[in-house]
Amino acid sequence: MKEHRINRKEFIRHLAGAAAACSQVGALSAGCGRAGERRPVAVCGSGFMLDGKVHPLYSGSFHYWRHESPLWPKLFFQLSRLGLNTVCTSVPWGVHEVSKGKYDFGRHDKSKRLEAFLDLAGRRAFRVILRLGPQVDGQLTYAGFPARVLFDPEIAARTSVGTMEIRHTAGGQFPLPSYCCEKLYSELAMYFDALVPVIAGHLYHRGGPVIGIQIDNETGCFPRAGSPYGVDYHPQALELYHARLKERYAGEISRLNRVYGANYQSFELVEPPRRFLGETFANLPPYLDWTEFSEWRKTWSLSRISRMLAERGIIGVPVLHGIPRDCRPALAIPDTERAAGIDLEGINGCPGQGDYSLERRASRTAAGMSVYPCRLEFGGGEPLSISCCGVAGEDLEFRIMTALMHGVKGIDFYMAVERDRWLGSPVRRDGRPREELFDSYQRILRFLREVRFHEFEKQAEIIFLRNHGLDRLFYLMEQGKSRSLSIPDEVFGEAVDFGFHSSGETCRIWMQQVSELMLDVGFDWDYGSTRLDSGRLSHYRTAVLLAGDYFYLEELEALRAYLSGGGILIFGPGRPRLNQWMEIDREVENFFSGAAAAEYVPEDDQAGRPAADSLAPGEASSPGRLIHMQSPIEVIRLLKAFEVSMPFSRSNKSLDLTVYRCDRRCLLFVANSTDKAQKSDIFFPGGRRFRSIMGSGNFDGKGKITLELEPYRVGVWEVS
Amino acid sequence: MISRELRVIDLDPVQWARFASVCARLSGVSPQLVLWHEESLSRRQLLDGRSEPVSIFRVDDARLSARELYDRYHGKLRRVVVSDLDGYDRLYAAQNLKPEPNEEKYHYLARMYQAVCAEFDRNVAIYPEPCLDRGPAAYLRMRSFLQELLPGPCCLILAVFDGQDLFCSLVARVSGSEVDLVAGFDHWGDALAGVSFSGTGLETAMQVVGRDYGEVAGAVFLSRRDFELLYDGELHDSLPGSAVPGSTAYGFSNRPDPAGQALLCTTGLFAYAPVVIP
Repeated sequence: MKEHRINRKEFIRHLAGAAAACSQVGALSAGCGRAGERRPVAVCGSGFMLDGKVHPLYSGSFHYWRHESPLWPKLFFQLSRLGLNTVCTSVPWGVHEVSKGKYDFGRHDKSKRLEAFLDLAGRRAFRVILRLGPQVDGQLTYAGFPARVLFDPEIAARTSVGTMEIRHTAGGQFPLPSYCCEKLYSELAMYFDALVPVIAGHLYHRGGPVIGIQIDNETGCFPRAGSPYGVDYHPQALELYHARLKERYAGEISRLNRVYGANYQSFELVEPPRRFLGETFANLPPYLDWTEFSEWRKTWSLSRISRMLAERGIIGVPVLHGIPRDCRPALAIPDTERAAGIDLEGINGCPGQGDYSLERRASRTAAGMSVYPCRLEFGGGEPLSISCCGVAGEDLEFRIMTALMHGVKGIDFYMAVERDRWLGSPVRRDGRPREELFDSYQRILRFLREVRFHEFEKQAEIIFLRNHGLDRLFYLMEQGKSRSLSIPDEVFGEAVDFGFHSSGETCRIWMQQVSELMLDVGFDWDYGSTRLDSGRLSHYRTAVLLAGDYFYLEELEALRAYLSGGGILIFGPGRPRLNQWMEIDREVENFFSGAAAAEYVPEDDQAGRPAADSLAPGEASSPGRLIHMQSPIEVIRLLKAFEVSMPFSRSNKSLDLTVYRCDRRCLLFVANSTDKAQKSDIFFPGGRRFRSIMGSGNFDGKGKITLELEPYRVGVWEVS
Repeated sequence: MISRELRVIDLDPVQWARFASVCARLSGVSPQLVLWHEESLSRRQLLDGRSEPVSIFRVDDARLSARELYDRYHGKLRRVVVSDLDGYDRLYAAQNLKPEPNEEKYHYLARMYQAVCAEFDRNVAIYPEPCLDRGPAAYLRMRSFLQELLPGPCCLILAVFDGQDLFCSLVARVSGSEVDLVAGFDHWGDALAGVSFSGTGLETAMQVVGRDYGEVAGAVFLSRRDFELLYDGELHDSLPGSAVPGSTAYGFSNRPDPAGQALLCTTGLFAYAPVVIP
């Protein structure tokens, strides 16, 4: 298999400067603006940088090809009234392909006039994000692919039992494609060859409205394809697996044999696991490697698609990707944004009723992991299913405000314009607004614009680091492969005692208890993972790390750098000694054994301060502190002892508080996620004035105010 | 029965949520029990995903054990699955039959269920066997209704009322015996906004819908109560009058309708399109 070594970012560098690249590629495209008129678009923590100005992403999805073109102006008008500044649309391969190698971009079917759509968007002052696939989902029967590609047996992914993996949609079934199959990419290349000349001249730096390109969607996470022993066992996936093992084991099969307790003659003969049969921790490396490979092949696919576009002239705009809301794929956001030619990975998902804690976690995860915390495919109505709940305006506001208060800065409302197999959007297919919902979106978008929300930063001093290696342990034990007869994954899951000092279950409970206690006290935090680099970590004064008995060697470096920069790293319940190959590793052992054994911190804060100060620093040269805490309660006491900032606290623990700051301006968010009105004292130092922005009532107070919040409501006050 | 390019448009979200909440009962009321065994010894039992003590310690024949467990729960279960890991892999393979490029959705599901049932033996079984029936009208009855009575372009209308308020509304457009579009009354905006629960209301709906989607082959206006009685998870024979004694309903069918079967199928169609309940 031909393996390209150059990634998208490197490709751009090789083009000797963006301006030269623009003129070179732009000359190939009809309708290009003058090269060098605008600078390439970049992503920053507040949004998209357009010629030195921040453009926060307040986007709504609108699928041009699903609406007759005479309706487009009316639909844009409504989106403008709504307060959006960006539209996002998919450009499905399967919609534009007429037959193999032949495409219709509007010559025959006017609703497919992509260029006319982009021109109109630009004239109406909208920026555009294009979703080029190949998978765009969109509740399409074939998820955006041409049927002929999906039904090509050579391209179909293979399951652990040798079959194709079938996906069911509202219109029928299709085999999932293998993203490791070369033929898929050669088919996709034909589409990109036809598509890129249509869009290249509409990129922002060439004078057009396109500020971002989103590729694929939830790669590797097709429903039912997320289980470790489901897909992909395609022959070319296994070739990649063997190549990956060879790289991980530096080409030494003897090393792999020693770790696996096996006797393979070559890497090409290594059998991938097809179900979990491990009994002791020594049995885990083949499963951990298989799981790591499954994650890696996602970034490999994305990198490849991104590169294909760059090679055809799509440069100078950020490349985006969306992942599902489950926590697991989010752990890899730093890897994807760092290595896969993806500039921004957003979290998809339509929050449902009663999803407050899930939504809070997803938003904190975006805040902790991503360069620009973004929710894509977020909450603009619902896909057609029997679990639809018919969102009312107030529910909707609560859901969106929950995401914003916990760290989300950019949003794509999916779908802003209603379409086939989708309901409850603020704008109907014929352009009529759904008044109640429309008003709610308008109100929120007005709030974002008027306070200049993008300029604010959430004030979280703590990052909770999920341990990617440990997460793989939870994942690799899942035997579930299929949900089509509603057999739950957990049926074949058992708690196995692998002989660890700190079992997976102990770690899971520790994390849960620490989170609950932190909530109880009222700390705000973001979620990160052990894949974060030290630059991201350094934004936080304190990091709490879930640790078991083993740790991936390559993940130590960022922690070391964090400590060198003066960070405080508290870990528990385990004290790792093993590496990912389940070998006692001096490097791992030395790092974690350098921790202060803070088994006890005095309960009283005043007494706690000196106790914390007296804790030993981490590795000898590090100015930071590395502290082992077995007990969740002690973690909380220690956080208090380190005086983690809580500018506001509350008497009623049913309410959640977060604080955003921009220079001297301060926004206080208060959420009531219960079904009853909640009253609470809010404590703060000194005298403050609270001006209501979203919510009810202005307050003045010295040291304390009392407020009441309706059920399922997020209130926002500007505090001065 | 269902077009692969089925379109579902202009459903009012609140109306759809009401319809969905009634439909959800078809699959949601009765829990599913799964028993995992290895070499005949039970290892784990889950009731709707929640672990519980195993009810049977030995599984000598999964088919008998599945039946026995189902009976023990006195019909309170939707389904019992008894399997070991090898059996599970076989079920998994059977569920992943290769579909043909233009294969109709329910045709595929029928093949898939048949393949699943063919795997049942002493190690793996599901009881009752998975089948395609859903809603008030059996799958085969629904299929023959569409194939035999609706070969040409036409449409079917269902509206449910809570008093005089529209509870939910669904229109199916049928072409070549396949449903290719489902819409709600919202599609027609003001023209159907105030439609009443009456014979006149039914006529109005037929006129308005018929102008866009052609011949109206069947139309049913039901009270919410009767609708819920029909969508109770059981199969029914007819509607209204016999299956729903004492109800008030308005119906129209221009097809032969022995014992209200065409009206039943008009009502039951929407459990198959757009809803699919596993």
